[in-house]
Amino acid sequence: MSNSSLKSTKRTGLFFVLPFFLLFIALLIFPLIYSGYISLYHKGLVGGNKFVGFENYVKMIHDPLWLSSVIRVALYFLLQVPLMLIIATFCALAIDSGKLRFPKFFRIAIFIPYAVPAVIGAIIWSYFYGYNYGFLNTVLGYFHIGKVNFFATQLSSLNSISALVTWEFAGYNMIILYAALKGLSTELYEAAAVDGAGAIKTAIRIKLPQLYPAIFLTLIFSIIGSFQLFTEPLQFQNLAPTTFNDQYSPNVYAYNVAFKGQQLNYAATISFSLGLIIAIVATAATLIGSRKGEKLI
Amino acid sequence: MTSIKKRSVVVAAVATLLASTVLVSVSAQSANAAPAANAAIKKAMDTPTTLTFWSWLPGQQNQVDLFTAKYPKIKVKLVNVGSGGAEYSKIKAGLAAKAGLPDVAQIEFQYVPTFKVLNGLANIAPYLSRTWKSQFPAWISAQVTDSNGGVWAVPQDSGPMGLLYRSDVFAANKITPPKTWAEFATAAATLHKADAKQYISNMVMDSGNMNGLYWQAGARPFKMTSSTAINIKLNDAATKKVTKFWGDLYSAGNLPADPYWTSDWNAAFNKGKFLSWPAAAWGIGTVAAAAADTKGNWRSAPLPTWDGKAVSGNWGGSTVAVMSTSKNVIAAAVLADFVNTDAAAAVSLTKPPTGDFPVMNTVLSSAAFSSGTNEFYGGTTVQKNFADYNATVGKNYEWSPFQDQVYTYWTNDVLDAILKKTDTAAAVDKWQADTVAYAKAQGYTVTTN
Repeated sequence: MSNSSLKSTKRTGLFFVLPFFLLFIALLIFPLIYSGYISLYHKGLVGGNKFVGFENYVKMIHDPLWLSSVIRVALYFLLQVPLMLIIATFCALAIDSGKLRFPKFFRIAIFIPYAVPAVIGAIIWSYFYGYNYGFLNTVLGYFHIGKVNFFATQLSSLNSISALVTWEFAGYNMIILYAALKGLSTELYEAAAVDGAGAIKTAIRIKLPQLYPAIFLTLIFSIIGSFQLFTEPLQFQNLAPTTFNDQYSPNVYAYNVAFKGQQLNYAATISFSLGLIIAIVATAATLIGSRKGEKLI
Repeated sequence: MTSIKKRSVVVAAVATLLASTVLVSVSAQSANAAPAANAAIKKAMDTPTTLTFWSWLPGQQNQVDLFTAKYPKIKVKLVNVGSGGAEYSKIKAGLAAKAGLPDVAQIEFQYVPTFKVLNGLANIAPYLSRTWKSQFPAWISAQVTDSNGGVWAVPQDSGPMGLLYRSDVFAANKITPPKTWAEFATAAATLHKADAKQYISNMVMDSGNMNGLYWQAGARPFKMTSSTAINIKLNDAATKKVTKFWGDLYSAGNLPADPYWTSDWNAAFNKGKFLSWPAAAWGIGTVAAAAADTKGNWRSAPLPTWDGKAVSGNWGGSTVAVMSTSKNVIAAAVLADFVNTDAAAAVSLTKPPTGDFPVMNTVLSSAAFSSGTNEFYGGTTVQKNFADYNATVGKNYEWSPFQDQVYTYWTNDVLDAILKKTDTAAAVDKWQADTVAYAKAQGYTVTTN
């Protein structure tokens, strides 16, 4: 290939990525820089806009409401993500084993909740969780079990949200893992079969170890997703206003600080820091999770 | 009209000359306006214009139709972008971005100062008649005007409070509608003791509902002493008394704590779990829609009082305001005014599907309004009852320019303490402290007298 044709190929390539690249800059890079920029200012309802350096960040670190929101999503991450990934991995292995009847139906049925918009999902689940006349309490009533308040405490509310989000995202993660399984070399399965390994043994001993990088990828997605918890607590707020308070998660807090509290600068500070926290947690997970000599991401 | 002072002498002089030629056919509601404005209004209403109007009021299209029938050159795009907070978030985002805002928007009374301090509202005083204010009860118009003669919104409906109650269950338990809150507490114990599944009412979980009860008890928490100075007194004796009253009822087990506006909450009215509700006038329709099975068994009474003196509070009510960003402020002002104060429009607001409680004196005192009976309330004149309570609403109530934040702190501090059965007085003090700290951070000079 001559030098000039290489150049033109490069230019063509640039042309193809341009639409994405422009949107990427306009919708991601620019807002990121802008929110970082306005987080260094303070504008009150009265008085002008002034540069305050890192004052908003200092205020945030000393803000108990902010701290409670970060601790809550960290706890939520620990409660929800392991359970969801175990279910997703189990389902992916089950479908891949070839031992299921109607595997395509099974696959779609688990995936469908992901296609339901988060707001609608939250509304559906709010009917499940209703205290007096909700579906779950009605069923418990048939068995003469007392009513359960699914949002009584912060912990029970996290469990209730965990169940909903697991329902919503297990299928999405299952599809990623299933695709990874399909990409594995089948030679090892044949060797295992020759050695007398059954479907379960093959799944645990052969498939699972090779699936590790894909599981790790879903873990990183889940870290990002769980720290950004927003829609569900906002939707549930009217069901338990003191439990799903205005600082339930960092994103809920940023939203309320911006739109109820009219403190856009402080909201930008919270959002910008959340990005930083997610980056730190994801990096830490990568460092801990990497096996020797292996590049996970 | 004081607004004429603001207008430059030259403009006024030129416009007066012009106005003398066009004054022949001015529209009814501008008949008394300043001459300069009359010419401008006539011109604006004759110019083809499209106005965007955000509102969540059911049936608002009816009043818009009356408007466009009268002003065929003006097109109105009525959009429901969500009710209350959902709409306000969009307006606040639009104000920050200086784009994407409507010309006219529905805004509750309690948020008029908020949008005013955000420079979101246009002063429409120049386009209103001299006698405009006197169409409304004084305490209503006081909430949309300022001492400099500015008018920032047009009142649409209001929410004077009364007690809606189940007369059949009350009678079966030999209870008359409580005249005082002490009687209410006694009745609460009697009713729950008679049947563990029934409660006199629900815990007041909604910040606006509780605010109406604080209002009734005499709380006047905010006073703007200048545009940058505010007096905040959320922790006065009246507020502590009301908070303790409801906290004690809840602690004693005589009230459930069901979140408002949920399907459970609606069902609780229908299934006889809640036997009364200290509600606003618009609650007449809320209960009727929620509790169809109990039709005919509900009645209304004045709110129980603290000292036997008939005083009510207010909860809710909306205005229609013109956004400061509108490029057609005059047409927008005429629209905002017309949909609420035009004789036919004002009456239609009180009819289904809207069913607003009126703010126009003429409608409040009209025979048609006060003679209307309601089958759900046993054929009583429940509307007229609320018009009577309306006359007793405590006057001179002022809202803060950050009412959302005040309510957020109320839920965090006060409601949380009630539900956890901890010290309510300390919670009210914390509410005050949080709000003061917030106001100071926003740049206000704060006093706490």
